[in-house]
Amino acid sequence: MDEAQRELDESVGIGRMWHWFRFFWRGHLFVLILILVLSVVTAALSVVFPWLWQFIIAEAEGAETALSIRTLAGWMVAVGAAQMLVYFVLQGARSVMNARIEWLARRRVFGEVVRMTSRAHRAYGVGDIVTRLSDDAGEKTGWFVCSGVFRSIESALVVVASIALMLRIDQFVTACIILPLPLLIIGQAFVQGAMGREYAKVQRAISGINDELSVVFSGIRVVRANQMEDQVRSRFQSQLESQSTSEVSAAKLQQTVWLMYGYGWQFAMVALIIAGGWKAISGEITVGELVSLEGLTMTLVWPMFDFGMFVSRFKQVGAALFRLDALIESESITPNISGDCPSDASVSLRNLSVRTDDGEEIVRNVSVEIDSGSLVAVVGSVGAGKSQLLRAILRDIPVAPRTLFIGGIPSEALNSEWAFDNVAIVPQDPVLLSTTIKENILLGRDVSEEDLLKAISVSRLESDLPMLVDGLATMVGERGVTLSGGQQQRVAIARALVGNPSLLLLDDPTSALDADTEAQFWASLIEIDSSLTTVVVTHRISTIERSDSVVVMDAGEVVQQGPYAQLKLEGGAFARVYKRCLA
Amino acid sequence: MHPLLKLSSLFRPHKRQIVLCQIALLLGVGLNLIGPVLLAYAIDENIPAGDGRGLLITGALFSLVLITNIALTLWARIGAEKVAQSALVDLKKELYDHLLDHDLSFHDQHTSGQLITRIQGDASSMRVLFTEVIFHLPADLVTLIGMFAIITIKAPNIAILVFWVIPIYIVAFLLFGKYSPPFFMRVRTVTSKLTGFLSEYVRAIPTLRSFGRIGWAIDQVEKMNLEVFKRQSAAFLIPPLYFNTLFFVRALGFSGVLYFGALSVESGEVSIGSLVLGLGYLRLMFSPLMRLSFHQSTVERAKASAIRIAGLLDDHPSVVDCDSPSQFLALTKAIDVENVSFSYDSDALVLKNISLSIKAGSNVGIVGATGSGKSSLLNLLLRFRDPKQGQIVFDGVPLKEISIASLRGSTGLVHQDVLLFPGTVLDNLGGDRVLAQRALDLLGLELSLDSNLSLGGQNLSRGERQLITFARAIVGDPSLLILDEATSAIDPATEERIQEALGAILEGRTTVTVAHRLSTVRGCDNIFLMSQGVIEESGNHDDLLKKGGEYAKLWELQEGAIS
Repeated sequence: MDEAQRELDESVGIGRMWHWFRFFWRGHLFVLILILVLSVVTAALSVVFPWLWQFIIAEAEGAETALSIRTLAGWMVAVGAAQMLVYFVLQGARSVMNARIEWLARRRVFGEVVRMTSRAHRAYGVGDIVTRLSDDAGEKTGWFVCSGVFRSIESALVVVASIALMLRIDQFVTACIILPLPLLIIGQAFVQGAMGREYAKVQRAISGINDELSVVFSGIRVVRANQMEDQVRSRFQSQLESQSTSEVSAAKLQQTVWLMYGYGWQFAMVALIIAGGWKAISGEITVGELVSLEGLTMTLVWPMFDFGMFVSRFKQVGAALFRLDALIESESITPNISGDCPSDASVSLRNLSVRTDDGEEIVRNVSVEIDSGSLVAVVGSVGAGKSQLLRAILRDIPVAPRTLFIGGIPSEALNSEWAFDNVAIVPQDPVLLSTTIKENILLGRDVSEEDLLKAISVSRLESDLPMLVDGLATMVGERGVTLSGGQQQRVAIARALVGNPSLLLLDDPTSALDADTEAQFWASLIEIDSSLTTVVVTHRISTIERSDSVVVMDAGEVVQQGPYAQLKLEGGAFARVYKRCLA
Repeated sequence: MHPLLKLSSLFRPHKRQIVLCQIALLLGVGLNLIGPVLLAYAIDENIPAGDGRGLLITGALFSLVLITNIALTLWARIGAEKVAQSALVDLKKELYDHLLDHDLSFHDQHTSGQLITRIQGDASSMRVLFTEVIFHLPADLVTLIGMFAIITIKAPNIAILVFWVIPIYIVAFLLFGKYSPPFFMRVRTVTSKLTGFLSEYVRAIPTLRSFGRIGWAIDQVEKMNLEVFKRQSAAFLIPPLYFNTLFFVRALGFSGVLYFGALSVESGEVSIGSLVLGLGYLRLMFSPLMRLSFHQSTVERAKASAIRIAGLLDDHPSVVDCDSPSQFLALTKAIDVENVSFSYDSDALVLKNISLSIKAGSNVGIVGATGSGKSSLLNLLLRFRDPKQGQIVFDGVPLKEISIASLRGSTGLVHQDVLLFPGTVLDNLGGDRVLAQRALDLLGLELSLDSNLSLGGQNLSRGERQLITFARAIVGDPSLLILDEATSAIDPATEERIQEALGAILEGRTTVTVAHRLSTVRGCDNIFLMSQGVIEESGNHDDLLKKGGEYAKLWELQEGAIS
C-alpha cells in the first residue's frame, strides 16, 4: 500500500465509519436495546455494592441505622448475585454480537471480492485481499463495533453513577481522587498508539523472516550446492535481531500500560488517605463513608482502561474499515445476463489491442480469424503477448468494443452465461483448490458420471489415477502441491473439458502432455467433439504440425499467420525461432 | 530428562540477569503488600488520634512505596523480556543451523511450512513460558504467602474470611482449564481453516469466474465463515461465565469480611482498619491467582513445543564428513560412478547398478523421462544423499572421503525452480561486488547489482531470473557445473539466448546437464539416456541418432522428425 493510501486511512472519522455501523446493526434492534438496558442495570449494581459498605461499618461502630448488619450483608450478597447474572447475559450478548459482526463483515466483503476484475485482484494481490478479509473483517473490528462501543457506554454509566455517589459523600475528597484519573486514559491512548506501531513492525519482521525461510527451505538444494549457507545465516541473524528489538520495544510499552492500570490508580489512594483522612478527622465524613469512597474509587479504574482501549482501537478499526471500503469500491464486473448467445464458436479479432495493468500495450492491433471447429496454434517467444491474447479471448482482460467477436457477436454484447458454459481455459499454472481431484474437476458443477469419465480419459488424467492413493478422491494438497506440474495441468484440462465447451483455450500444455501422450490427446479431443474450436499456445513442433493454422507473435504483434506447411516455406520469424528444430 | 529442562540451558548465560530481575520483582511484590497496610494504619491510628501530620506522613510513605514498586516491577519485567528475547534468538539460530545442515531426505519429508512453524511457533512458545510462567510464578506465590502472613499477624480473625475464597478460585481455575481449551482450540482450527480457504478461493476467483462458478465459491466460503461464527459464539460465552463466577465469589468474600468483620468490630476484637485491609487483599489476590490459572495451558503448550524442538535437535544428519576428509579443489581427471545402486526408503531401486565416467572438462548430458533416475543421480553427485551400494569417485578419491564443504565449494548448481531471495541482485550473487559483476558480464546480463528483486524477482522476465541463477552458480568459479532442467521452462528463443551465454561460461569447466528436452543436450560431448534406473544408451548426439535406438525415436517424437 502506498503512502497516499496510508495517509487517507489515517484520516479516520466517525462519519466515514457510519455506514458500517448501520450495516452491522440493521436487523439487530432487539439485541441493541437489550444491551443498552442491561448496561444501565449493571452500572447501577456495580456502584450500589461498595455504597452499602458505609452502612455496615457505621453499624459496627455502633451508630443507629435503619438496617441491621445481617440485612445489609444479605443485600450485598443479593446485589452480587444479580450483578453476576446480569453481567453474564450482557457480556454474552456482546460477545456473540462481536462474532456475528465479524461474520457479516466477511460475508459482505467476500461477496464484493468475487466481483472484482482480475486487474483489481492483481493490483491488490491475493495476500493483501486475504489479510483484509481475515484481519480487517476480523476479531478487532467485531470487538470494536459491539464490545468497544457498548463497553464504553457501560463504563461511562459506571463512571457517572460512581462519581455521583462519591459527590454525595464529599465533594472535595471526590475532586482530589478523580482529578488524576483522566491522565490514565490519555496515557494509555498514547502508549497504545505507539504499541500498535511497534507491533506492526514486529509483524513485518515476522513475515519477512517467513518469506526468507520458505525460500531457503524450498530451495535447500540450491543453497547447499552453491554454498550459500553463510550468506543465508547472516541474513537470518540480522532479521532475527530486528524482530527481537521491535518485540522488546513493544513489550516495554505493553508493560507500561499494565503497570499504569495495575498500580497507577493507587495514586488515587494517596488522595483518599490525605484528603479523606483529614475530612474524617474534622468529622465531616465518617470512617464508613471513607471506606465506601475507597470502594467506589475502585469501580473507576477499569472503565478508564476501557476508554483508553476504545480510543486506541478507534484509529485501527477505522483504518481497517476503510481498507474494506477500498475493496468494495474497486473495479468490478457485472455479468451480462441478457446478452446474445452465438450459434458457433468462431473467433474473430479485429485490430485487437491489450494493455497490461500499467497501461503498456502488450498486444497491438491483432487481426486473426479463427474458424469454428479449427485448431489454431499461437507461437512466439516469452513476452510476445500470447497468454494475454488468450486472456483477452476469455474476456478476463477488458478489450475495446468491436475488436473481439465470438460467433459473430461482439464481446461487449455476449451473454455471460453462455461464455461461462462454453469458453474454457487451461492456464499454464492452473489454480487448484485443496479438496479432492474430483471436486477440482467439477467445481461443484452437476455433471453426469459419463461426462466426468470422458473428460478424465481425454485429458490423459486417467493414467495418473492408479498411481494416486485414492484415485479421484485423492486430496490435492495446499495449492496442488501433492501433484506434479503435469498432473495439475491434466486436472485443469479435465476441468475445462467436463463442461463440454465450444471454445477451448490451452496455454502451453507441454508439461501436461509429453511427446507420447500428446498424439492421443488430440485424437480423442477431435473424437468427442469435432466442432470444438481450439486455440493453443505452444512451443512444440508436433503440435504446430497438427494445427489448421499458426499465428506467430513477436513483441505483441502478429508477424506471420497461415498453415504450418506454408510458414515453413516462407521463412521469416517462424523459421528463425524454430531454426534449431528445423535444422 | 524432561524436554523443558533440556532447553533450560538456553537461559544459563543470563543467570545473573535473571537473578537480579527476580529479586527486583520480589521486592516489588513486598512493597505492593504494604499499600493496604498503610491505609489500615491511617484508619486505625491517624484518624482516631486526629493526627493530621501523621496522616501526611502515611500518605507520603504510600507514594514512595508505590513509586519504588512501579520502578522495580517495570525494570524486572523488561529485563525478563530482554533475557527471553535473547534466549529465543539463540534457540532460533541453533534450530536454523541444524535445519540448514540436515539431510536432503529430511527436507524432502518436511514442507517449508512445517519447518517455519518449528522455528517461529515452537520457539516462541518457549518465550511465553519463561516470561509468563517461570518468571512470575515465584512472585505470585510470594504475594499469596505474604498476604497470608501479614493478615494472620495483624488480624487473625479476618484471615479465614479472606482466604476461604482461594480453594474455590482454584476449583474454578481447574474446571476452566479443563473444559475451555477444546472450545478455543476449535475456534483456532476453524479460523485458520477459513484463512486457508480464503486464500485459495481468492486466488481462484478469476478461474472460478471463467467457469461461472462464483456462486459455488461464495457458498463454500460462507459455509466456513458460518462455522467460525458458530464456534466463536460457543467459545466466547465461556470467559463471561468464568469471570462472572469469580466476581461473584469475590463479592461473597467482600460480604463475608464485612459481615463477620463488622460483628467482630462490634465486640471489639477487630479494628476497622483490619477490615479494610481484608477488603484490600481480597482485591489484590485476584490477578496473581488469575495468572496461576492460565499457567497450566501455557506449560502444556510449551511442553509440546519443547518435545518437538528437542526431537528435531536430536535428529542428526546422516550425510556427514568422514573423520579426516580430504579437500577437493578442482576436478582434474574424471568423475567415476562405480556400480551405484540407490533407493529412497528401502523401496524399489531407482538406480540399478549404474557405472559411468565423466571426463574432466567435458560436457555431459543426462536425459530420460520423469522417474528414470536422472535427479537421483544428481543428488548422489552433489552428495545430497549417499548411494546404497557402489561408490562415486572424484579424481580417484571416493566421494565419502571428500570434505562436503570443499565439494560444494567447487560445484555450482542451476535448478529448474528459480530461487531468488528478496533483496538486491548482489545479495543473490553472494555479496562480493567484483565477482558478482564478473559473473553478470560473462553471461552478458545487463542488470545493476543494486537493483531490487521484489517478491522472487517478479519484476524480471523468466529468462532474466533464470540467468541470475546461472550467474549465482558460476560466481565462485566452480570446476563442476550442474544444470538440472535449467532451461526446461523456457521457450526456445530464450533458451537459445542462454545457450549462447553458456558457451562462454562452460569453457574450462566440467558440466553435467540434466534435461528431458533432447535439444538441450544435443551439443554435449557425451549423452547418457536413462530409463528406469539404468543407462540405456550413451554417446554423442550424432552417434545416438545413427544408432537408431531409443534416443533416435525420442528425438523424432520431440523435435518432429525434421532432422
